[in-house]
Amino acid sequence: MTGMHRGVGSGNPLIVSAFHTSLAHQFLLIGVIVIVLSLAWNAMRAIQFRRQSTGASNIPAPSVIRVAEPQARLVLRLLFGALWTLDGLLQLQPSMPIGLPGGVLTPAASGAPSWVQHVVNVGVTLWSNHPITAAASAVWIQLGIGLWLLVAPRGAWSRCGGLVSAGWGLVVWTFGEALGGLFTPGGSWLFGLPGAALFYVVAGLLLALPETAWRSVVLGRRLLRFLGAFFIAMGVLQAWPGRGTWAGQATPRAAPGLVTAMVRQMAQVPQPGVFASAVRSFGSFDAAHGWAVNLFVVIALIGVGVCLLTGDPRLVLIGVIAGVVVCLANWVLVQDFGFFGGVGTDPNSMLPTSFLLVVGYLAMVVPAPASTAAQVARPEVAGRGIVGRSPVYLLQAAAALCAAAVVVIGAAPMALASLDPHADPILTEAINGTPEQADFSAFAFSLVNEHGRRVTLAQLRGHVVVLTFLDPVCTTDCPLIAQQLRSANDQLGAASKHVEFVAIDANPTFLQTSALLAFDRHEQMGSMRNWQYLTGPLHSLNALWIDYGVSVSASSAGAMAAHEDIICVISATGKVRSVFAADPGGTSALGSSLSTQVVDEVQRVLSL
Amino acid sequence: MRSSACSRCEPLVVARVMARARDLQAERGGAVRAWTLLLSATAVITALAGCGTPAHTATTLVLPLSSTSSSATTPWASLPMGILSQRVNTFWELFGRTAGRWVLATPPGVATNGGVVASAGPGSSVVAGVLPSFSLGFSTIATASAPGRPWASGVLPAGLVATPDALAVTPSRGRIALLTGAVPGLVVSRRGLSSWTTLASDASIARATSRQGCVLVSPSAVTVAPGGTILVGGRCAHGTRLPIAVFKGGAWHLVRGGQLGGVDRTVLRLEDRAGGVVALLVSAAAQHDGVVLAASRDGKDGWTEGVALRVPSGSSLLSTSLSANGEATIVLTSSSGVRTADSQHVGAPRWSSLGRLPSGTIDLVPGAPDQALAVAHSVLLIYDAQRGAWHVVQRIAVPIAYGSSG
Repeated sequence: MTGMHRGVGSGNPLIVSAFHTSLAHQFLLIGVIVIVLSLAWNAMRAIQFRRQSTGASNIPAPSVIRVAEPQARLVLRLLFGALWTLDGLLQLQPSMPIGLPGGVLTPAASGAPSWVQHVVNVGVTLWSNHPITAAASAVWIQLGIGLWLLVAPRGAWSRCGGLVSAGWGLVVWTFGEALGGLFTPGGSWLFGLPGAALFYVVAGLLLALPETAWRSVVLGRRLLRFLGAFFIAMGVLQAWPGRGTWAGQATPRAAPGLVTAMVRQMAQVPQPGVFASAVRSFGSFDAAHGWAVNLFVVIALIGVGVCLLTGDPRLVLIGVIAGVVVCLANWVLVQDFGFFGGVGTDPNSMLPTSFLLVVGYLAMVVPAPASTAAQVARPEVAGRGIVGRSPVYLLQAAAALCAAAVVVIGAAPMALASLDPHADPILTEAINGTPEQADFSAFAFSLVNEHGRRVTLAQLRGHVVVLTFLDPVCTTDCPLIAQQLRSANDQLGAASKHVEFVAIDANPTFLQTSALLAFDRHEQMGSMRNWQYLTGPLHSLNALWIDYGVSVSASSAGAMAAHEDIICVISATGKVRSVFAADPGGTSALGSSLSTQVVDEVQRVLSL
Repeated sequence: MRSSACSRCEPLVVARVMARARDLQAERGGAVRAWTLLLSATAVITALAGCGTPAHTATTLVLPLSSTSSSATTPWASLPMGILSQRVNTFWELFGRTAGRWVLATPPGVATNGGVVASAGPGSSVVAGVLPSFSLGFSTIATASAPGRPWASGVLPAGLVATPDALAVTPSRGRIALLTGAVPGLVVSRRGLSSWTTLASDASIARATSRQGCVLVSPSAVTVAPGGTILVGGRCAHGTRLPIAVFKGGAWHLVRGGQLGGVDRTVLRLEDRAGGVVALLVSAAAQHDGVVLAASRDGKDGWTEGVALRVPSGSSLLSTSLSANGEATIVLTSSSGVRTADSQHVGAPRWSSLGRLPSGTIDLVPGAPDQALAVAHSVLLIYDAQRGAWHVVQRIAVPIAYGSSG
């Protein structure tokens, strides 16, 4: 019914089912790749074994000089590998396809400058138009990166994994976190400033460094100094007056301070009772002692920062321990673990910050064993060519290749989807149902168009007719439907010459052609050569409304005329071949999805 | 001097020494760079923190759309009803009084979430325009001969300006409308409700008045003076004269009389009443500059202004009424929701307070007795002032279709 347009719920069964199906298909594809790579690894091992046993090769037996991976790098790789894997698993939540844009992306950008919102909107549009593809892609990309970091310890494969991790982290930071909230007023380290994904980017870049960089304590010192400066800067920001960080809640009716409001909001997220209770308690404590809590946070941040900046191992250790403790406390009490509520995508910024602190300390105090350049560059070469590599190397290379394939399986559909500006038809099907295929003679009409010329259904024979019912002074659905019909006409391209778009007036009060012309003018329908908006005497329209099952009623008291939104696709021979509800929904993605569905149905009828 | 035994390990020694030297250099340089980094980061954070500081907001003028327009026999009131905190569930309703009873008379067939403006015509007739809302980009217009009578409908080429007097009726039953849109201006219809011609654009009015002591911009009210002369009111972009222009001899001329003394006022109401043309002017800084009633016998010259009514701090203007005999009434609401009213007759020296109004009052219809129109969601309560107290004399339950616009 016009004016009653709906949105797609994040738990819409059709969407969830399609998401799971898409994941299952991609999982099968990954399974095939795993099998192929297993066979390839087995074949190479067989070749190696045959050459060794026959002595046909001059390849020496594998006698690899192994140089241990620097401990700090190992820890960084494993921790961030695990984080990416966790993030990928969180992306499996059924509400992700529909819930992420409205529940995560748009709120992250709200309050940001318009240019940031424009940037984020690119991601929102892509995800909203292709929710299944995007959600499934995010799952596989993140699981793939996690797996990649976990299985590829050395060499180019591993560094490449770091680069991919940094690249995807940058994408998440830009579109998912609105540049980490750096440009949004009211940002605070407590809430995740400067964005969790930025730490993933830093970690990825560290992993992409040549291994020689890890064999010096300099990297660890630099990392800790960088973190020290970061903590002090965050402390200064936290202490900045006039930002609401010092306020608790003076009286129950007074507006709560920034932290109290945030904590209370987090406590309302669906989660196990014990966590909610802890967060609520801290919210009450902050409401009563907001100033003291903020003072503690400021002192802790600046104190940790100063300790890290000194470079003195004992002070640095104190700083690292204090930093980790403060981060974990913030993670539990303010950020509320970051991933509850159905659309949580990661554990927020505190875990990655803690990981970097630990890694920085390890890199500073646990120097990697010395090695020659040759050992570092090609640590496990035992012969020439791929078959000359050690079995362990081959296994790790196969695993890394598999992980890379998982990333590609995720990224490729998303890249393809980004080229298509039109939304997938599944969105409109989620609210309107699937088009009903029909086969009955269309009900004839003889009406006048907006220019006063008589138009009959018989005149339109030879063309596929897209027939709908629109109210010329409708304030909600009808203009949106008209826009989507125009978009469908554009999408049809050359095939549009075989198609006529016809709307019939659905407002018993506004029957005059001037109203139809005003509608056309405002919606720029005049640019469509094959568009006609028809009206006529009320009794003729009444009969047509009844024929096509459209209930139209004039409303009083300021409501618009009510009518059903439907579209019939009539074949060139005058048969109704498709009937579907045409609620354009409340979002541009839903509207675009409707136009895609119109195109699909017209093309189907054209091909009959 | 190096031993020959060590000659093979020379490259390794050199490499270690170089590495240590780099480490030491990096440590020294690192310490300097770390503090530089810290200072830079602090500067950036300081700048970011500044982004969150709220800016001073300029006072903006909110022109209330709620209003009554009265002919000699019939008052018409346009009021918002429903859930006023939600735009999709706020529906503007038009009520007319006939035979002492108010009746719901909202034009049918179009959603009124954007607002309704009404202009009382000859006899008991009215012409009403519905403002655009949501995806509708033009206004509809309708006319009825009396409250409760059938409507004849038409469409305007663009959206009406959202002010109570954006629409006027000529003595020959033509209609004049102020439009927004790509080319805002004044359109007239001499017959029918869907055939409009442009009389003047906003830009042409501004151009024509630019050398007369007031560049008249943002036209906000239109009326037809005795004799069929069209008047348009707006605000002065530059100048201190009364921002009202009259269309005479094919050109626009500022009316004579009235000096605003440099105060930026906008004409909110402009109507032809018994005894002359009256205008109600409001200022963005109403607390300082107040609301002014101005009047002229023929609309062209001899304009005089009354004493300004200063709106109490924290209060805002809720609605305006102009009675058939030229009495202006305004309803104010305080920050705590208390509604009060003030009125002034043309020629009276100052505004007189009508005191506190019933809860929920949006409009006050001057007369004998004064009537307060109060809204409680979908119910209109009509109060009469009798012996110093307000009494409900009529209750109208409006069948609002909540959710129909969202």
